[in-house]
Amino acid sequence: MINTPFNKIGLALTFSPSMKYNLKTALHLKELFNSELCIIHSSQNIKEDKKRFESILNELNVDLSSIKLLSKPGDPAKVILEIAEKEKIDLLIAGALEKENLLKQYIGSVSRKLMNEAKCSVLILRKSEFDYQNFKKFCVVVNYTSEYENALVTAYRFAELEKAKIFSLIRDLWIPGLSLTNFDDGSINSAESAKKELINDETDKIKIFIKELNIGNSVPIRIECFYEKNSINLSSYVKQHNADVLVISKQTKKSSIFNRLIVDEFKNIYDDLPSNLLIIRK
Amino acid sequence: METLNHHEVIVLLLQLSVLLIFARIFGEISRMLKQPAIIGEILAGVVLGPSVFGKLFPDIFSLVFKSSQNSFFALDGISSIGIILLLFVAGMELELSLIVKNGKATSIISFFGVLFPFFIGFAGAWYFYDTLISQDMSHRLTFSLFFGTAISIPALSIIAKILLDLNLLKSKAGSIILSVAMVDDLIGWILFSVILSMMAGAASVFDLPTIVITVLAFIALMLTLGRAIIDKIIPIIKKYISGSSGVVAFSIMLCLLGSLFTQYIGVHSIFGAFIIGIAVGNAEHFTHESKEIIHQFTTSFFAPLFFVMIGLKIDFIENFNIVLVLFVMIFSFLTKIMGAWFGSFYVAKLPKYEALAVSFGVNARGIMAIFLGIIGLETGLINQEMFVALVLMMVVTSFTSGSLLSSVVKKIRSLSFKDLLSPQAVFFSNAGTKEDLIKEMCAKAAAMYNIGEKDLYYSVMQRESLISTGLQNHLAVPHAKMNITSPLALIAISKTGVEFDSLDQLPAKLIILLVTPMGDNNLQLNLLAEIAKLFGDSSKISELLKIDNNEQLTIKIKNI
Repeated sequence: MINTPFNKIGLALTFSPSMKYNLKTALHLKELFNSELCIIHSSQNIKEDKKRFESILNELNVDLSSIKLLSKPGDPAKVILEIAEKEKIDLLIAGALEKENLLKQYIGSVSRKLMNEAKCSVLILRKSEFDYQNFKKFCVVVNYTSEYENALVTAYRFAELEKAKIFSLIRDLWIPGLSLTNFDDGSINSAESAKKELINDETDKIKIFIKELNIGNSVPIRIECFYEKNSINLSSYVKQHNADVLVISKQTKKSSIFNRLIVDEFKNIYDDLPSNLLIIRK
Repeated sequence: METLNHHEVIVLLLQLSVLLIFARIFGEISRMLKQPAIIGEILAGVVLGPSVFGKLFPDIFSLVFKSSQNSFFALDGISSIGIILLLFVAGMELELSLIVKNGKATSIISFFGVLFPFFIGFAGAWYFYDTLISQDMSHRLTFSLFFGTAISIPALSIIAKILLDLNLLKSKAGSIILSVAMVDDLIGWILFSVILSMMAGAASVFDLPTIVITVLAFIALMLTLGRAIIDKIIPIIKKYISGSSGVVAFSIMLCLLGSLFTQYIGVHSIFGAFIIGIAVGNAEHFTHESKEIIHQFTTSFFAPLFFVMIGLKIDFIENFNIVLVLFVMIFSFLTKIMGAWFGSFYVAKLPKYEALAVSFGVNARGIMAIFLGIIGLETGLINQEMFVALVLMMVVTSFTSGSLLSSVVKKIRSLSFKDLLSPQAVFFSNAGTKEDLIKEMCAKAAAMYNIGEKDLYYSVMQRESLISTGLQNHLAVPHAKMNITSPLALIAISKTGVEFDSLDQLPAKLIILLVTPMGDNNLQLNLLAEIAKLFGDSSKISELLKIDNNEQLTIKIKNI
C-alpha cells in the first residue's frame, strides 16, 4: 500500500487570472500528500517575477521556506519539462487554457505538451469560476493493464486522503462490428442482448478487479460501463456528475506529426476538459 | 408540372404496401432459418414478380405492377433513394480505427484477399468472355474488371453476424476478419468506381483520367480533412438542435450532396454516398444513437423495398444458366479463400486456425455484390443471367461461411475455465487447515506443470494476505500470477471443509487454485469472473460435493 501517492509536486505557474486558484490547489495537495512543492516558471525577467510571486505568496500567508521557486528563461513547455525531470518531480500541476482553437490544437499548447510529454504524472486544472474546492468526486477510467492497476491504486489513495465522497469507475466498451450485425434486417434484438450481457459481464469483472487491488474499503465505489467508443459518454458523465477530477493513465508520447494523425482515445477529453484531469504515469 | 393522378397514387401506395409486406414476411422467415434477411427479401420479389406470381396470375400481376407507368417511375425513384441510403449506412460501418489497430496483418491479408480473386477473376472472365458472356468483344476489358471486383468484395454485415453468433466478435481473429473485410470493401469500391468511370466515359462531361483523379482525390479528401470538418460541425449542430434530429438531417444532407457530386462527374451516385458514409461514421462526435436512427429507417423501409424490387424486375427461373452459375461459384470460392489463406498464413504468419477462420470468414459475399450487379445491369454491362449467377453466389457463400467458420471456431476461442480442467487436476483432500490445503495444491500443481512449488505457494499466500479468496457457499478460489505461458487450474474437494475466512463464514469445500501468466490481468479476470458465474448457485456446489469420483466430477463441471 502506498502511503502517499506523490512525494514531490511541481506547479507550472504563469501570471494568469487562474494563478491564485492553481496555487491554492497546489498548496492544498502539498499538505494532503505531505510532499515537497516546487514552483516552476519560465521567465525572461527572473528577479522581478520572483518578487511578484513572493508578494502573492505572502498575501496567501504561505511559509516561503517550504517552497522552492525555480525559474529559467526559454520556451515555457520546454523549461517546465526540463526542470520537472531534473528535480525528479512526480506530480506536475498546470492550468489549462479554457478553450483551444483549431490552430492551437494542431501546434500544441503548453498544457497539451505537458500532458503528452511529461515523464511524471500530470494534473491539469480547469479554470474554475469558484474559489478553490477540495477533490470530492473522483471519476476514474478503468482498464486491466498494469499501468491502470497503478493508476487506480494511486488515485484511490488520493481519494482516501482527501476523504472523497465518491469514487466512480468508468469503463467504455465497444465491440467493433456489433452494430453491423443488424445491418440487413433492422432487427436489433440480438445485438442489444449481446450489448447487455457484455455490460453485465464487464461490471462483474470490474468488481473482481477492485477486489484484487484491495481498494474500496473507505471511499464508496460506483461502477459505470458505457457502450460507446471515443469516450463521448465519459465526458458527459463527468460533466453531469460534477466530478472534481477525472483520472486516466497514459504513457508519455512524443508529439510528432505522425502521432497527431492517430486519433487518441481521449481526444474529446483534451479538447474540452469536463473537469480537472489527472494523468497518472509510473 | 405533372403530378400523379388519383389512380396512379392509389396504384403506387398499393405497390408499396404489397412489396413491403411481402418483403418483411419473407425476410423474417429467412431470419428464422438463420439466413440474412435480404435472401428472403429478394425471394419475395421473385415470388411476386414475373417468375412466379406473374406466371400464375398474369392479370392481377399486370393490374398491380404494369397498369401505370408513372407510378412505377415513382417507385423506382423511391428505391433509388433507398440504395443511396443503404450505401451510406454501409459506409458508416467502416471503422477506420479498427483498421489502424490491426494495421499490419490487415493490410497484408486484404492485399492478397482482394488482389488474388481480382486478378484470377479478371483473367478467367477475360479468357472465357466469348464462350460465356457475349460475342461482342467491345466490353471485354470492362466486364473482366467488373467480374474481378464483384467476386472480391466481402459482405461485412454477414461476416459480423456470423462472428457474433459464434461468439468471436471480441476475439483477435474476429477483429482481424472484420478489419480485413472492411479494407477489402473499400478497395473493392475504389476499383469499382474506376470501372464505372471507364463505362461512363462517353456519357460524362469529363474524360477518363480526369474522372479517375477526381474520384481518388474525393476519397482522400473526405477521409481526412472532410472527416475532421464534419467532426467540428456536429457539436455545433448538437448545441442548437436538441436530440438527434439535427445531426441525422445534416448527415443525410451530406450523403445526398456526395451522391450528387459523384453522379455529376460520371461515377454512380451510390459511390459518393458510401464515401460520405465513411467520413460521417468515423467522425468522433457522431454518436451511435444517430447512426442507429438512420440504420433503423433505412433497413426497415428502404432496404426491403429495394431488395424486393430486384426480384421483381428479373425472372430468376428463365435466366438461370447453370454453366455461368458454376463458373461464378468456382471462381469466387477458390480465389477468395486461397488469397486470404495465402496472405494470413504465409505472409502475415497468423496461427493455422486463425488463418483458416479469416479465410472462411471473408468468403461471405453479400449486399455489395448485389449492388454491383444492379449497377452492371443498369448500365448494360452484364445481362440478367450473369446477375442471377451473382445473386446465387452471394446466397451460397454467405450460407457456407457460417458452417465453415464454426468448424474451426473451437480452436480459436479464448480460453475458458472449463478448458483448463482435466480429471488429473481434480483431487480429494484431507488437509485440516487452509495453509496445508494450499500447500498440497501447490505441490500438485508444481509436479504437474513444472513450476517452482515454493514460489507458487508464496505468491498464493501473499494474495491471501490481502484479503481472503474464500467466497460463498463453500467455494474458495486461491489464485496467483506466475511466470508461465498458459493458465492452469486445480480443484480440491474437502469433504469436511476447511476454515477459509469466507464471506459467509462457511468452511470451504470446493477449492479452485487458479494460476495465470504474469501481466495478463484480463485473462485472470475473465477466468475469475467465469468461475464466479459458474458456481454462483449454491445448489450446483452441493450437487458437486456429492460426487466421489474425480472423472465424474470433471464431466459434471464441464456440463454446468
